[in-house]
Amino acid sequence: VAAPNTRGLDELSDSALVVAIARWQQDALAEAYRRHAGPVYGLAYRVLRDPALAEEAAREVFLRLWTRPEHFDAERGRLRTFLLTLAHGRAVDVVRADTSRRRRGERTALEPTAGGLGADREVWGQEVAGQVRAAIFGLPDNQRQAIELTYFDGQTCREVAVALGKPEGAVKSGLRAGLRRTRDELTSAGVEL
Amino acid sequence: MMTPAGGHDEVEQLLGAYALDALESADTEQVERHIRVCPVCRAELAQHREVTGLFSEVGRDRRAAPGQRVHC
Repeated sequence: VAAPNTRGLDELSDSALVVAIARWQQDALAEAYRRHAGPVYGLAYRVLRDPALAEEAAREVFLRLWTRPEHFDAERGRLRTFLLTLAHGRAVDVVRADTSRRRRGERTALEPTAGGLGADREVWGQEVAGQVRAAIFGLPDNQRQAIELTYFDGQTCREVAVALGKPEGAVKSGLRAGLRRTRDELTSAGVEL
Repeated sequence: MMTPAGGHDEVEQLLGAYALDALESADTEQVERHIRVCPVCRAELAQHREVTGLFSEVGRDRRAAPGQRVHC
């Protein structure tokens, strides 16, 4: 019974898929998972650096899509972006829990600005990943570091302010400026947003 | 333009940090109250989310990138 349905589902748009999920069609959820679970897990792993925690976070993202599909608003953005937003929020919550801080050890505190951007997945392709990396590297140091510490390490503006020795307000406005500038760079580079 | 509740000028400065999940809870609540009534901030937030969505494709790793300064 599922086979013809499933065949039809890979031709559905993401928005139509969410409508089917709202009607409790499990195979629609499976299709959404097939399309987006890789990047969702990848992001959770980047923030959590623990496969089991990342899998759990990814599972929660799709469970949330299943139970609250109405939270996705196609007019406000793509399903992929929505799921990544959920994944990031969930991963950051886990990072901020004491148990996770212990599990992750002191790496974040010891290496606030070390590292870089790399290890891209193939999903968006090397070219876009390279352009994103270039755009981030093109930012002023403080903006780049603040973005890395918040996005990849799950730090709050308050923590970043301490790490960088800047006022919290400057960190907040720097994050906004950094995201806008990154967007402008990507747009000029012809990346579709 | 009318100024929706929550202080538009103040909230718009927080939108980048909000998109990066980097705000403390009081700020988060302020942003969420405001974006419910402010289409301008909702639109800006959607743009920030598109950018952070792309960040997810390039993870942080342990290698220092060429030309990157590593601070102590």
